Amino acid sequence: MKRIKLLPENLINQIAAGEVIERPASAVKELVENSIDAGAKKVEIEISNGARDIRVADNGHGIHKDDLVLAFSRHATSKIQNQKDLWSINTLGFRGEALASIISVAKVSCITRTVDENNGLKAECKDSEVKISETGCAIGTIMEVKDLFYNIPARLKFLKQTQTEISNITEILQNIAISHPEVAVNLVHKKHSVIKTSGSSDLAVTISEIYSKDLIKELSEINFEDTQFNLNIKGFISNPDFTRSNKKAVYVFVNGRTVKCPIISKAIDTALKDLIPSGKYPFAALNITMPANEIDVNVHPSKRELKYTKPNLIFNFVYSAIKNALEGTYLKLHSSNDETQSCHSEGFSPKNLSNNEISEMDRSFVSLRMTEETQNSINDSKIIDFSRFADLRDDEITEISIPAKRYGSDVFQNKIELSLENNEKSYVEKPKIIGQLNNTYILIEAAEGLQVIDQHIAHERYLYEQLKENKTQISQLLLTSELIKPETEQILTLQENTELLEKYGFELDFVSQGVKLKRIPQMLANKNPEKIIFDLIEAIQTTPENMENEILERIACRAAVKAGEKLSLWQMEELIVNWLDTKFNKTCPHGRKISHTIPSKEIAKFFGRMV
Amino acid sequence: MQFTVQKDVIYNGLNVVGKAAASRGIQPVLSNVLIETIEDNSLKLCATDLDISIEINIPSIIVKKGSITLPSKKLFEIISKLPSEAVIFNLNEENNLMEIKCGKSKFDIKGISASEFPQIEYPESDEFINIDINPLLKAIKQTTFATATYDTNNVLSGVLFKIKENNLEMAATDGNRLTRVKEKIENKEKKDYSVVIPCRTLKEFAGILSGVEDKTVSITVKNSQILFKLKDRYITSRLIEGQYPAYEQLIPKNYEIKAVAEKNSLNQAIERASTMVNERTNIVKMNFNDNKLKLTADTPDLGDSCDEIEVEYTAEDLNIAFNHKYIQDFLKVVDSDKVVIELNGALAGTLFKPASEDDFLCLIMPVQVN
Repeated sequence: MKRIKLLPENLINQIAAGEVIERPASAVKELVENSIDAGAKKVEIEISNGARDIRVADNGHGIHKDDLVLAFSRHATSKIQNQKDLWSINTLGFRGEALASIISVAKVSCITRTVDENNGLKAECKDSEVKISETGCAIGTIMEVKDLFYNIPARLKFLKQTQTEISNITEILQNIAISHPEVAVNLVHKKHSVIKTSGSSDLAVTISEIYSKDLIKELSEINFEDTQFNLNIKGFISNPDFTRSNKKAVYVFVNGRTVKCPIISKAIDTALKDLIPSGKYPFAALNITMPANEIDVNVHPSKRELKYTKPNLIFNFVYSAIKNALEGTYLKLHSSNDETQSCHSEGFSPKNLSNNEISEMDRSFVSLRMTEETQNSINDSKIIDFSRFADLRDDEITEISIPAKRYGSDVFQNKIELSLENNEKSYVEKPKIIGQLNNTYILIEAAEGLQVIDQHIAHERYLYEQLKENKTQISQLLLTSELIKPETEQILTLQENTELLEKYGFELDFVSQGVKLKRIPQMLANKNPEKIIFDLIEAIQTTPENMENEILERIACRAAVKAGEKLSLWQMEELIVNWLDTKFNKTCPHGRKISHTIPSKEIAKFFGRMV
Repeated sequence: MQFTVQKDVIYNGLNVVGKAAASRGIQPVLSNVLIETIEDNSLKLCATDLDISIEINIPSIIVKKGSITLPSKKLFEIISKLPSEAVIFNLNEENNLMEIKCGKSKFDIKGISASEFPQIEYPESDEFINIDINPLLKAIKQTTFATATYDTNNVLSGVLFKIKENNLEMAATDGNRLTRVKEKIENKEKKDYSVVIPCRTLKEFAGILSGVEDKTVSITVKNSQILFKLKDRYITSRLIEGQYPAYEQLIPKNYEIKAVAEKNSLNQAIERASTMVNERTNIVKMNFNDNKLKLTADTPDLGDSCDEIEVEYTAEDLNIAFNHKYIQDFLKVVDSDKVVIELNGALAGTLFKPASEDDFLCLIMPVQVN
């Protein structure tokens, strides 16, 4: 019989390390997060030896000489002191496991110096034992991890190709860099900088350093606040016509911590549901700050999961912020072309600005707070003093805070109308229509070049937004319609949803052999009843969770002009004017792109003209 | 093949048949017009898109017999630009190149062999009826506008055409409104028909009547085909198969309330009010009260309109809304100066009729506005 014994310290650490240090990337993450928690403004990471040697140097406040030995033992941390702190964690780490785990699976040396010391200290660890000596060094900490997993052959065997490990590390550092634009991150592999950010404190600059400068043009800025619950979200989201095929570029940070959070993901998905195609994802960098006591990060050692005290509040907040930001883009489209360009270069590309300029802009930001009183006054009197806004440019009105319970669309409606009154009427110009291509695309002479617009989906988006706005539908009564014969089970689906269908202007007559239409939305008055019925069945059956929008999408699709339909100049003009005036007019409700512009420059280049 | 024909004669001929030529198609020959010599002084022109075929015989001087098909649009364009003189056609049979000469102008146009042109089957002519053109034309005008437009094979996209004894009855509906017209005709042949004719066929028939002296048209129906035959021209098309809805039972026999309005003042009032309709819904709201009809329309963010006309109306205050286009469609084709409106409440079908002997009615379903 084997007896039960307490395990030796280093074995405990080795077992626990399995959870914390899965692969080189996890070690990098822990070390860099420590650097950031230590207040570093600059972190340099060097990877070598097939990602088994990791060197992380920072300029943080270093480790106190008396703490150095303790730092490597399990559950030793400077980040929390007592139980109360656990419920309001403001640092990335707090469990006190990282270093202990790393030294149990690698040979680690640490050189550190605090501002109070003249000399630095060097600690060398092997097999969880720590030796300390004095050395000279700059303020900060240099952690050197060597031969990762040297004592765990199984893990070693499962290390992927160097390139894969490097790309995992890159991914994690991208996350960290974007969540901490104030920290300069430099990842070096084989003497090459893989990632290099300047730590400018400007998220837009950081994004352009990691991705490209062009990406910034595709993004809308998010800046949203809930003063009542002290929630704040800042960041960027790509405009609906810019998508990526995976979720990797959706960065969500809650209080600076990268999270994979179903509630926030769902909020993003829902906000973009009828804007981008399914299977496509946006670029997003959302930095959410909320009171630390509203969340519990202590769910899993990787700290990627969160628990909220008010999940619905978070969902609505994120959803509203994104919708709001994208509607902001829509408003920009209303400005005349020159105006748009200036908005783009100034409002959307802060990368051109130096830090000083930014802080100056910060000061000039006007926060337009729509309290309930002002809102009521808008509703009641419709007298708004626009002169107050007249001097402001679009991009100056960046902060609109709304009491939390008023997230409903009415609020945004007010805001939009307010801005429309101000902008749109004076700016929308008649589009210069060149003609129709293949009876399917409308060609427009735009400021930037030749704009090609798909007539069907442009019209579809317009009708869809109209339908969504008018909750009650005007419906045409019918004297007769064809008898449609769906399958019994399909008839049942329709019967189950008669109330919903009635809300949108459908009244069905269920007769013994099938179903007839008695009342339909006005815009479908001249459409094929059979197709209408089967559309409804499909809408209900395929997307039960989003049935209402799906029904509206189908109505809009049926009612919109078709591809291949010849339009008169007058009809095209009307369609384009309406479309320009529509929210989210870059993509159709299924996420397809509506318009494509061939820049004049490209055309000129083709013909060898100098521009 | 060689012939000479007066410019105006062939111009008119091509104008008549050209409407049947396919505007775009997989078979190029279908956008061509068939030209064929028949008898000594006659030339046959024919075009078809396989749904409708139109044929006309025109006088010409035939020098050499033969046949060819030429691109309908291009040929028409050429002819239309020629002076009003004799045009000489001369075909090179080896390469199907037609030479067209008129005065000093000369064209060569490439044709496709007539053997590729589809054979058009005409219903046999021993079973036919002759009916007067005028009442038929009037009935066509009063029905075709109400057919459904979403699918050309659907029974509602056609016009019901019914002959029984000395009555011609035609009806059309797209589900939103229904028109029915009855005309007296002489039915000497004592034949009865009830068929559904594609809307387009009737419109094209009305279109080929320009410059025709015929008073009657002879109609034959056989094998789902219908043939309208005049002295020098024919139009034939397929019929739409399927059961036409039993519309008689949809027409209210009684009414609760009646209004009588001047056609022109009603039309003008709708015209004015409708300037402010929401282009998506086309709704004009009507209020009948105390010998007055008030019309209103509005579009959010744009504005509204209000108009009022005198009507004969003594019943209770009534509000009802319509797609104004449906009423205007009716007013456009009704002949009398006054129209009768028979109402059965805000959500029931409303009958619009001429205040005359004409047996014509238009049943329009209102729109429900919440």
